[in-house]
Amino acid sequence: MGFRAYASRRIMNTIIILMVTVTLQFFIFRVMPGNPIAHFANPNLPLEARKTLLEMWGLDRPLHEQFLTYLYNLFSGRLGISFVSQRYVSNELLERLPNTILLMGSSTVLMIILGIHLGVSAGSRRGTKTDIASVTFGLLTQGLPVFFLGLLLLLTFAYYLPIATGGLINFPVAGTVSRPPPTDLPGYVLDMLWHLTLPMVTLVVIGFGGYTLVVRNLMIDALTQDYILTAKAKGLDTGSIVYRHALRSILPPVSTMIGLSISGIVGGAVITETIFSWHGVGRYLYEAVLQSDYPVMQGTFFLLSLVTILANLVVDFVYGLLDPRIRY
Amino acid sequence: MGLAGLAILMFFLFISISAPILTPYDPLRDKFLAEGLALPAWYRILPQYRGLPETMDFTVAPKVDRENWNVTIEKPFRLAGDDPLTLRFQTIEGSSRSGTGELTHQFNYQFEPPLSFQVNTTLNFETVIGSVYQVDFSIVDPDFENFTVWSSGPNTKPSEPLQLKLDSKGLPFEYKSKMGLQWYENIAERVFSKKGVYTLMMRLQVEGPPSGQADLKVTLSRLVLHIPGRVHGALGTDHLGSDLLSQLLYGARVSLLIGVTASLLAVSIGLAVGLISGYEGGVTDEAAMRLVDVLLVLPGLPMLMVLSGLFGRSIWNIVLLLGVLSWPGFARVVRAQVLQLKTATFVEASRSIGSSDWHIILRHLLPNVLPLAYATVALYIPGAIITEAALSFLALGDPDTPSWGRMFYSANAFGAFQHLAWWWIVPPGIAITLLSLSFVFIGTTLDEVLNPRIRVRKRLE
Repeated sequence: MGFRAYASRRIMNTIIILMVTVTLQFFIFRVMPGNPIAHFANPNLPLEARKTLLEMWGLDRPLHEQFLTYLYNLFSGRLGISFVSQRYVSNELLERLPNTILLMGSSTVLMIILGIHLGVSAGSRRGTKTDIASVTFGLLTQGLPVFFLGLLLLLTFAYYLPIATGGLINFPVAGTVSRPPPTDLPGYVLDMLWHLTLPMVTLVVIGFGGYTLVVRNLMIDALTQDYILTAKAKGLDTGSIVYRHALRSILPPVSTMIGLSISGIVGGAVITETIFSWHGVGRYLYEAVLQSDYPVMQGTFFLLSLVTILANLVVDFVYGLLDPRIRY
Repeated sequence: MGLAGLAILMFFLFISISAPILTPYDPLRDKFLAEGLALPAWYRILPQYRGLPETMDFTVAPKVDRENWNVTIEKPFRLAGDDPLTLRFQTIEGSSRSGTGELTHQFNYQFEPPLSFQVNTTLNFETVIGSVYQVDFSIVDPDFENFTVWSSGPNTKPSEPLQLKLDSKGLPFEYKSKMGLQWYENIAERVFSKKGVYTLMMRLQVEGPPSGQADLKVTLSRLVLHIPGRVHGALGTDHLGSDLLSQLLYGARVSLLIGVTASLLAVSIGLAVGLISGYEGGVTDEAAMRLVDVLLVLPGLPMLMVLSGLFGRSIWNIVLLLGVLSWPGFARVVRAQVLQLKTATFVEASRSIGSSDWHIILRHLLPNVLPLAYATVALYIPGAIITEAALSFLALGDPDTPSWGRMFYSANAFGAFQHLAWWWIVPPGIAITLLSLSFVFIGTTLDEVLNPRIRVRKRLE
């Protein structure tokens, strides 16, 4: 069959999933309790303005026409106008997307690297102190709720420690950059990194545990294979065995996990972004839900689903490249 | 390790069942047990907090405690009756027309000043003939400085019952200025600023007409001086004065209930879908798997947020949503297992003797998938608990249910940070973490026992 057939099958699958998701969202936001018209035209506007808006959005047409218009709008990027800020949803999303990707991307990369490294060293040294320490630490941090760790870190590093050390250790309480932001580029970057520290640490601490435990189990399993015994008999040193043979063999399931993490990047940071007031997509959706800002809810939700689906597709491709068995 | 997990789980089950015995307070409805954001009682071990007051009541009602209360009457009135706290003033011929009756109660206050105090009383005027009166309530501090808390004003006549619910935080400015306080100063801090013997005083001044009889009968129903404490209980109070320990204990119930119910729901649906789709195959299978794919691809927490926002915030909505969004993952696993089992010989044998599909599914396939289901229920419970806590923290949970997530939400929204009230934030977090940990321990141990491959091998590694 080959890679091309596999790829085209996955793409077809993805398109079907995307269409079903979009349809599902269409119905969710329209068939919900409450006045569906209120979802598009701010009920505080006078009647004439509402009628004009409704005509503009085509909401007085029959349902199937609405659906086609909805699809057209969605895929040409017209996601609506926020009730609260009166700006285009797409513009606001574009503002916030880089921040979310920065936070989630760096956290995910760090957490994967840390988790895999700890898992490998724990698995290859089963029963020793390294193993027990890694596993215990991983277990403990995995059970922590995200918001609890975030609140604790915020409380300690942004409230208690600055008070206790008189401003020596001082982390920001909120935001992505300080107000006013530094005007020079190195200062700006440094400032952003300073703001990035606490949320990133929160996400990494919570996330690495899962990787550590799974990779450790996989490593233990892989090291019991016969070809490892052969390698040992051949006289290879432990480093080679672990990193060149065992680790390679466990890559497929690990890349599935990585794929899941990556596709969860955009949607996964809602709580962290809210606690640290990070100017990102997750917090945007949260505020929209609180304020019943329906265009924003719909647009953001669509974006999140789209990114997740696309990420899944990319992961499927990579998986296909890595593991020849599934292509044929 | 599994034993540790089991022990922790047993502990939480115990406190969730015996919560009403362990704490007498209702977690959300018993408000104003003490000042808002009161410290935990054990804080008083530390020297600088030793003097903080607990919630105290000094009550007189309806029987007057002759030892602690004094009634002094100035002539010419005669105090009549020995009824509990009924004072009767009648003029005596031939003397001046006015007089004073005082009711005092002395108490010893040895604590730091409270943040507020309340005075509640009801006076019933049963007979007012031909006289006008003035009633004052005041507190006298150990240095005999008199603070008037309320006065009815001179020449008051009406005989309706007087019901007073005074709060030191809400006293009109005229009282404050009479005490010599600025408008921003706290009355309670000023009044109770010294340690010693205080006097709570009610004074009734009566003036009779120039000629004729004067008769005044007053019944005092209650007189309570309530001082809300600045420490309370094992974990202090929240901003409305509700006991935090009760919230923690009852929260165990709620969280466990939600976790178990949502998890059971998700696993049941997943089991059903996985079994049927895996066994039937064909179009049913394809359709089900597409649905599973779609549900898996939707981002979890945003979906929950949006649906909570649309459907309303009740606890059953959350359980339902959690169940409905978690079943696809398990359905896939069940389906894979069923596909494997379908080819087994016992299934073929059963079909060859004419068993119906349902019989095969229920009698042969289901028992083989059940161990997986049990393990998955245990695995999903902590996830459900944490997700519910996250939703409540984001203010999308049920505000009437005392869950741990709601404790986080109140802590964040009502000033735990500003007051550095770590005893509000840390206990529920530790509780959630311990509970998740216990399930993880149990799950890991089960895994090590059931999965032969990662069992420790005795031979060389």
